[in-house]
Amino acid sequence: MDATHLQLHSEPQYGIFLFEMPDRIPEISGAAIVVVGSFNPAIFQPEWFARQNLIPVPEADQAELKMVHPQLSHFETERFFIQVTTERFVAMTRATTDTSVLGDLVRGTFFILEHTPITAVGLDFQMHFSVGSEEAWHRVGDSLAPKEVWTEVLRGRPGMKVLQIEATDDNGHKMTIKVEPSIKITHGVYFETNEHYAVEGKKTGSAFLDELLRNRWEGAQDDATKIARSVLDWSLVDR
Amino acid sequence: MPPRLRGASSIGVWSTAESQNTTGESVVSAVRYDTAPIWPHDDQSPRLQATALRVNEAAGTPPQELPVDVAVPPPIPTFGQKAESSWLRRRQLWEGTVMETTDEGFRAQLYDKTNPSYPDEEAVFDFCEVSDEDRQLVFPGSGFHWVIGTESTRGGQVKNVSILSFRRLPRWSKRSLQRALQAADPTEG
Repeated sequence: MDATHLQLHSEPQYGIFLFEMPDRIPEISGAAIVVVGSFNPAIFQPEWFARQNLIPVPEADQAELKMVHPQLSHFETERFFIQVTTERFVAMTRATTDTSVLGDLVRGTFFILEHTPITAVGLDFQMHFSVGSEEAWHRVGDSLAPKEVWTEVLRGRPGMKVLQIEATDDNGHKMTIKVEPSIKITHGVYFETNEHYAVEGKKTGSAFLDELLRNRWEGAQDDATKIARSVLDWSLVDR
Repeated sequence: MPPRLRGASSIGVWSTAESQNTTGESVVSAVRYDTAPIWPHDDQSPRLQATALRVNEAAGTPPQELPVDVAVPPPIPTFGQKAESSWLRRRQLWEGTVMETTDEGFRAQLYDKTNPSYPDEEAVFDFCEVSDEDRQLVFPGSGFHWVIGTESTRGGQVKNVSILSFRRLPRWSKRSLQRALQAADPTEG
């Protein structure tokens, strides 16, 4: 994948925008960036992030260290969860943190650790939407997973618990979407999206990651929200 | 010493070894965790060469062998359906660039990320809206995010919040700039 390719992907890739309705705003949203490669977990400590000016010193001082070990580092700050193993780096926002800050944190981290071998990157978003009523809530489940086949073989009222959809575009990029009833929002629907990118071409892993986050991070978030809105709007239309 | 008991726990399959203490009683001298994998659906997790060995000190038996090759892959953290007790609902997001600073604050150009079709705006911020740690990042040209939303607290309260977060991107080092210049120089190999 080269820069031109990524530039093209700064435009929404997964647009299925069927309805012109007032935009739904997620009640809760979060994001995670998963980097697969080869890491030295022991260096990923709050003090290191503060020393590199990636997080403020007071945030590092108040971080909750879960574990720091040559093969696993895990800590939580006021805004982020960070977990690093020898093969995987995960940075995630907390529910009280806006997702916009996460991309900079990861870009900065691997700008500094430019020689880190990276093989794949995942951009994940989580959203909880309220649909307002129990009737609407059931309608979403019934639209996405029609119950006719189940009412023939099950007693009681069957309900959708998890729906997972996966698609791979022409460039080989995989997107996975999961839909569940929200356990946080009354009459809410939970969406989780994952965009998976394998490092391709002659670029170093860190250069690939930097370019991906620069060109795709905000677009991926916008697309995730648009997809969730569109699926909800489609599900709630009277048929 | 053959294992006497075997079982499974949240961190793996274990077996025990026994020995006799000074009074001739048979006691468990070690619990050894010897297998993987632990968390399902996590095939990308690394193998953590960790060990779990518990010595029964009452037996006075020193550790005879350290178990190896125990896989303890941590679960991928996700807050998605986790019960965090407070959360932010973003209603508006702007991306800003500092135009000029004064003694009291700064003037910035704002790009509306929530409604990208809206024209750019300008706004004046007081320094009291910026955290002490971020003050050093406020200079002409620096970037920030401005979020307006509501925060639901663990006590059930809903607060209106306005958050200014200055961007923390590392600067190019002299070495990196030198390398970039060399890469861009057609006379360099």
